[in-house]
Amino acid sequence: MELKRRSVLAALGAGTAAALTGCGSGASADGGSADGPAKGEITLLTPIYEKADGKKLLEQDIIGGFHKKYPDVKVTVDYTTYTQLNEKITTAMAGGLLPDVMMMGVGWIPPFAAKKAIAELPESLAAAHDYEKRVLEPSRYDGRLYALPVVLDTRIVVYRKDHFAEAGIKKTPANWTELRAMAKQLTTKGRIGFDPFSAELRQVWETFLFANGGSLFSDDGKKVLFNDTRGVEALQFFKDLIADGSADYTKKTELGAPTNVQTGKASMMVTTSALWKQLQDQKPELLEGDTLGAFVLANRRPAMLQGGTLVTQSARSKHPAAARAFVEYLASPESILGAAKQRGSVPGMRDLGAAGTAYTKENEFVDLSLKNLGNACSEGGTAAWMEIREKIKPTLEPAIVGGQSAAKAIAELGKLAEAAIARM
Amino acid sequence: MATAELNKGELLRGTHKPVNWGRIALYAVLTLVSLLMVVPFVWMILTSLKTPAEIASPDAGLLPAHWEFSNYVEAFKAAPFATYARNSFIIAMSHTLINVVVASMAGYALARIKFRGSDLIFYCFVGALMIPTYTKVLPEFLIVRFMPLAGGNDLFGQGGSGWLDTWWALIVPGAVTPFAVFLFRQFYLDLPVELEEAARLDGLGEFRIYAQIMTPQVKPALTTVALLTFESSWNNFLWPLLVTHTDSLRVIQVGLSVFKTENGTQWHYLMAGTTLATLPMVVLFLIGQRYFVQGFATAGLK
Amino acid sequence: MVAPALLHAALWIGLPVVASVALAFTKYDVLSAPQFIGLDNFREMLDDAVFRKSIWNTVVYTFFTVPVGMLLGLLLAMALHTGLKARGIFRTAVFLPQVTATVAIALVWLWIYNPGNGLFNSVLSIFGIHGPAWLLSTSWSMPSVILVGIWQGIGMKMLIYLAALQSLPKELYEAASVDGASRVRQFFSLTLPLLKPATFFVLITSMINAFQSFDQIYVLTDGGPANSTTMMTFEIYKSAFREFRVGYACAQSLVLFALLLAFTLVNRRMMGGTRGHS
Repeated sequence: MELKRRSVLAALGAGTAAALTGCGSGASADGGSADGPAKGEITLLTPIYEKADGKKLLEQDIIGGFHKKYPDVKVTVDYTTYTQLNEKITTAMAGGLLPDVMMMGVGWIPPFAAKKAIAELPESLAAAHDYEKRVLEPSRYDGRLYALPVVLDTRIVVYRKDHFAEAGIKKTPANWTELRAMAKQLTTKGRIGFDPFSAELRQVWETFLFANGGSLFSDDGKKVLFNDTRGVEALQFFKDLIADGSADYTKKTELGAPTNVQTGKASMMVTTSALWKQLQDQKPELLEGDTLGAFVLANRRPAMLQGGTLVTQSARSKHPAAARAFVEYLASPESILGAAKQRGSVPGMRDLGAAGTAYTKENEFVDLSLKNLGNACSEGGTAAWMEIREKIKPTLEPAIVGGQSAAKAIAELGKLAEAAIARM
Repeated sequence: MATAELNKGELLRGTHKPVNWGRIALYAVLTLVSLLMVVPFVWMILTSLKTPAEIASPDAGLLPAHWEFSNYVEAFKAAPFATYARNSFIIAMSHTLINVVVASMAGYALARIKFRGSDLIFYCFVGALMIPTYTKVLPEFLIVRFMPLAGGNDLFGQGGSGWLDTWWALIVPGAVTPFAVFLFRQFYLDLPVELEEAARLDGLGEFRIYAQIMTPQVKPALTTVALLTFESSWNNFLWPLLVTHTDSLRVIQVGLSVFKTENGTQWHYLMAGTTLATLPMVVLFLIGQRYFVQGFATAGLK
Repeated sequence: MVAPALLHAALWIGLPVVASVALAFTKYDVLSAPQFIGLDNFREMLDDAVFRKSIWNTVVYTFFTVPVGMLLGLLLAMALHTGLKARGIFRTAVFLPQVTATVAIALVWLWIYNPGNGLFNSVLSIFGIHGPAWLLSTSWSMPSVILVGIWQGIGMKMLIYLAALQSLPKELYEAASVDGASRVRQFFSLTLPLLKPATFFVLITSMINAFQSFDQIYVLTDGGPANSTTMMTFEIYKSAFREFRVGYACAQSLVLFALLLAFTLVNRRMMGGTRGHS
């Protein structure tokens, strides 16, 4: 028995060792050529297309359409959730069984491209559709294209038109001085004027950083740029709002809970374009009564943070031609509109024909986002992003909930980010 | 159960006395504690019967304005829940059976049989408990994926996908828990040595002493392990998600996750689905806890 | 007889442990092969203020949840072990948090702790007290998480004590009653010593569970605000799966393991062994 156990362990040990050293990939790491005929069996890993309607959209409409075009390719789908996408990708990658086509979030491309886990896409795909240049920014690493956008989720400011009218405010704020004054003025009757905190602190601070004319990293992703005065001012602005009493960290709402503009507890809030869809379910009268408006945050420049889901091709796919064809198809106008509609998200391009126009007419937040794609800014931009993104919220929080100064928190974050980049 | 006996007597006496304040206080405290424990469960059921507008409304009452039983129908349509529930049941049932048998054998051996290294082995099991899930999950995944001679793999685990996307991966890795081994050992420790000696004098072998004499004495432990194993297996989410990709192999908790997305949560469906997924566990516990008393009844037959 | 369980554990836990120990001395991001870096991970940990904080938080959390939870679990088990009417209902109620889905539990507790109109602050305001922003305050977040931890863990502790109480030899109690020992005396001189193996079990497993608590943090606070509720397993999870630093996560796991081992040995010493009175 002792012997048997040892041999089993030895055999498994060999397998594990092979996996850890990367020999278990089964296919050449360069991904091979995607020029051959598109055929074979490929797998898609996706955190979106949830539920029966999402599944129908993906498997019948999208994959059905793809199948008509490429009858020799068979697609199997591995559904996961956004929260477990990391675990799913980590284990698959360690096991050398990365799905041929993967969907991931903004900011993920540089780390994966730097490690050669995803394949470069031909530049022709970027020109194939009417993409706004900035929209493709998170799809690039080192100037080369590695992904295509499927759906975008933008960070915009939504406000109560009724509160504005009550206070006699006629137009939306053009810079932070106006924003701060309006927030103060709107803070009355138990309401807070502005709720920037119900969105993820990391993303809100980034939005403010960009609107203040700052950037996260240098173009090559090797240098930290956010720790200048622009970054400090962005964080300091939150502290000023709190000091004014017109923003309150403790009044933030949880994801999925009724938002503060919806309940009337705040007059303005930073939120995503998907709020429209949530309101259609939870409080349609606000939309019907035209109670809500939206604008893009601006100080030194207007900035709309662009999140979303991108589609990539694994560098280790055994059927690169089929995988590439599917990536292209998933990002095509006919596929992305359905995905955007299901989630209340923004499609990655403007020109989507009559059906697209109908959708943007119906959803004002999407319409605003599409008009502002030229002001889209994205997080990420460095191969060390996965490490840095986790540190932002906990490092900045002491400045918001504790007594720490904005300069100190930003300096601390800058140090952590530099260390993470140095480790790359 | 000694106290149970005493209290039964006391209860009988209690019927003769007009008021038993101590007992009333006990009931009051227990009721209060139970209420505190039950709140989320009740909340879940009430939420599952509301409309999204009502859930989101800050001034809605605790009870639904009109009871939306259709949430259950709709939630059920959102994913193939019948398949998921069947899969979860098969996995939880297998885990429970294997764990009760294998872990009780190990616990018995560690508690009652003197052999070299038994203490060391026991501490290895306790040590095994100390490894966090997130440390184990990646190596475990790799073992499953490189399982030799499975799923197209060769002797060295290369070439195929091993146990990934199979029942093996869902059932085998979590089948025996060190927790159960530890629990059984502690329960077997307490049994009187006379019982064992008498059996040995009767010429019973070690296995029969375990199966026929000792194990019937630890029925409460069997029930406890069975309940806890079933419960954790039924509620497991991460592992089944990682090792499967085919819809027909997915489990109920994975199915429920579709209601919670980055772009908002459909609380009414999520709660309806969750309520349905929790009910079997509650029923199981209601039945299972009765066996504590039965365990005592058989233990009395010595 | 111990062989099947041992083999299973050797493969599914032993092997991962060996792999993790080896990886603790490497830089491994799953994208490229592990790279041996000696003690660098451990050196870095010394500078990692957040991880240090998580160790402290874990110890504090364990120190408060385990003893209180055990005491409440034992008291409830004693009460529900008696011939009480409707004890099945009470037992099930106490066990419910164990089976209720985490998402439902989180939702309710988030509502209870809501600074504006949550249950706690509404009750406090009746007495004219302005309650804090429980989960969003660096000083109150930890106590809030501890309370949820105790609440959720009672069911399991009660269940094990209940099972242990059922297995006690009743002859001893009969003898004790004949001798005229009071209920309180019986509890201290009979029940408690007889429960020692179970108590050792509950203590060790509760401590391990507390050290590894993850779900409450994940759904209630995400480790915040300002890392005030982050715990060791949460940091390990973040390192491995959010930051792709598997080698570092393994090194952190080793520290967790060493701490747990030390605490277990101390506990065993304090209780005078793992076995019963005999």
